[in-house]
Amino acid sequence: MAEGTATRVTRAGESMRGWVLFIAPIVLLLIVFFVVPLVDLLSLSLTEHKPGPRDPNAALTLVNFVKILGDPFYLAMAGNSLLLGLLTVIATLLIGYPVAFYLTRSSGWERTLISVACLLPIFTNLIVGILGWYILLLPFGVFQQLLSALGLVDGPIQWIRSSSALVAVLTYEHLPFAILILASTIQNVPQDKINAARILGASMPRIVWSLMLPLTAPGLIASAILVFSLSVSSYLIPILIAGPRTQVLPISIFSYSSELLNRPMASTLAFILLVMVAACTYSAVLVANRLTRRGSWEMV
Amino acid sequence: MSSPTVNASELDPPRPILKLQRVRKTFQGQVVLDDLDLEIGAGEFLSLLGPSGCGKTTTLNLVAGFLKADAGYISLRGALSNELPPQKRKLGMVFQSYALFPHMTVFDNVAYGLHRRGVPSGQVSDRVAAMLDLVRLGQAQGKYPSQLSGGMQQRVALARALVTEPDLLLLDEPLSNLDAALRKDMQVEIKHIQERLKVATLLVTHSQEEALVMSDRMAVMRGGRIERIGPPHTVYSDPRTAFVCTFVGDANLFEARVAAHEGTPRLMVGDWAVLADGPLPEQAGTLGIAVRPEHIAIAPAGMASGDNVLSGSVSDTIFKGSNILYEVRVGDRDILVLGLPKIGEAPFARGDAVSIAFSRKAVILLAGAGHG
Ligand SMILES: Nc1ncnc2c1ncn2[C@@H]1O[C@H](COP(=O)(O)OP(=O)(O)O)[C@@H](O)[C@H]1O
Ligand SMILES: [Mg+2]
Repeated sequence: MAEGTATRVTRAGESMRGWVLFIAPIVLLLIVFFVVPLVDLLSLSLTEHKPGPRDPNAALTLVNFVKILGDPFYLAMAGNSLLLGLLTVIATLLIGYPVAFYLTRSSGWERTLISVACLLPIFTNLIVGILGWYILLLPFGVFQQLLSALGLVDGPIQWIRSSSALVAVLTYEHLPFAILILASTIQNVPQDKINAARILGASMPRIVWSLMLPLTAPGLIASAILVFSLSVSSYLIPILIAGPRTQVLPISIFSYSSELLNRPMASTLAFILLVMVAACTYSAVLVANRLTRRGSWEMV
Repeated sequence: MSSPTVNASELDPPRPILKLQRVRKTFQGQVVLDDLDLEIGAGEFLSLLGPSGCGKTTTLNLVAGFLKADAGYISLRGALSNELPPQKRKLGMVFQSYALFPHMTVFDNVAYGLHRRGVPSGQVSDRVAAMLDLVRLGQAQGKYPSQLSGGMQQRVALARALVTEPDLLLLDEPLSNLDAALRKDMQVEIKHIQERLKVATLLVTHSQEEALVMSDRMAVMRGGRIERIGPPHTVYSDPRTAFVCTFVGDANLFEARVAAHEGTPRLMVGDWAVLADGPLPEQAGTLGIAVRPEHIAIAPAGMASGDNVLSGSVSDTIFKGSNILYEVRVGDRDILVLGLPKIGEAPFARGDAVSIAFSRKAVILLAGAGHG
């Protein structure tokens, strides 16, 4: 009996060691490239800005956080970033869900066309994509001329610096990821379940609402989180489409760290952005799980 | 409390609930259903029996409206319904996978169809409760499907299909995911519920046992066509074709020649003459005949008597408890014989010399040549 327990303990110890070996590389990678920089970021944000090289013995202070959280300008900027992320998520899901749905039901050349259209933007260089939009949206650009030719508008319109243009380009850039994630979860909903709802008399909108949305909730959450975090942390798209004066966190972070050389302020803003993304992610998961009563049921 | 009943009024003349006429369906040029004709009367239990891939599910999907027929007519309750969407067909259906909604409780699953049909919510809970009692799931209302066993999930699916009181129920291999013992129970239970609600039922299955046990009539399908349709007993005793004969039950098939003998036609299998009832074709030719194993008696050599007696030796025995399947070597043929164990007697052993006998009534004449 005692012997048996001893052997079991040793076995457990051995399998433990096996596991540690197995996950060691990834833990190491996380520590070196994630935990260490994060701790450094936090400690930097807790020091006061002084010109010159970083003082390793600087006293810890909340002065940066007080400055940012007490300043309506920065609060509005954070709100701007948040709103931008939310609008992009909504636009992406509204466009992406029907496309993904259609993709899973189509075959032949239609399927190929949609798949290629989804994959090409991923493989296209970001700058090239943004420049394309730039040309389209410029005053007297392609859209402008088209609308003028149709007699719908008269004179130049200010598109290129508008926030709707910014949402449009962010949506365009992140749509493919959302479609790919959504298509794979929609594909996993068995056709039988949809047919069962149809024979019971459910209309198509009703099927989407009562069946598809709850069953594809994991994919919806995943793509929303991905699109949100990519959008609020995007730097190139806001600066090229909406201009360097755009009030969003990444532009401000960049300007503090590279132009004003105020690293503590940049770190503080970066940390606030990070917390914002984490909080939104977490609450999105909670809300969606509650709405679909996830956790109490499993797919059968 | 309203008990679930179907308004299959006895005053109505018996008209078919469902009628398929010359229905055709092809997938990518491959013919799956070939001019299929089928009729189900009110309250009737009809099985579609056939090997996998013969087009049974396709037939069911056409009836449900999930697929469109390439040609032919599908009529429901006397009205042409080819273009009617599934939502408006007012059918009940149980899927092979059960297709329960995993994020809804048992109650919500069953109530789903009632809500879609606009049943006032005051009546919904009564009708759901009554239906769940009928399938003996009264205690499981608040559970999620993943918390139920396979048999219980199956009964939820049945309750969900029946609670809207359809006059036609479609069942697609409903028992194939259950273990053997449960399957036998469910066959009887489904049959009882069906008789109680008097709902016409179209069952699709590849199991001859299910079809024989449950049906009022069964249709044997092969390659997109119905080869034989009738009450189970009739199909079994008069299968007409070699395929039906071997698919429904076991059979020994022989190819027989019709030869004139003293002015009357006579059947010859190899060099033995077979006495048979029934009209033989007048002109010479070949003909398939079949004898079922349970219609052949087996006895020690020289001890058998009957219209047709053959002698041979036992080449294999399979003991199944209540009966024994012998394989008897006669000339260059192996003949299957189903024997019953007799009290106080050892069964025949491999190598024993035996006589086998069957009456002329046991010989089944088939259309076309034997051995398919
Ligand atoms: N959607 C489809 N596309 C192409 N072929 C199909 C499709 N559905 C069924 N088939 C083919 O039609 C034949 C009959 O299928 P099915 O009706 O499912 O058979 P069963 O239910 O009798 O096993 C099979 O050969 C199958 O491969
Ligand atoms: Mg099938």
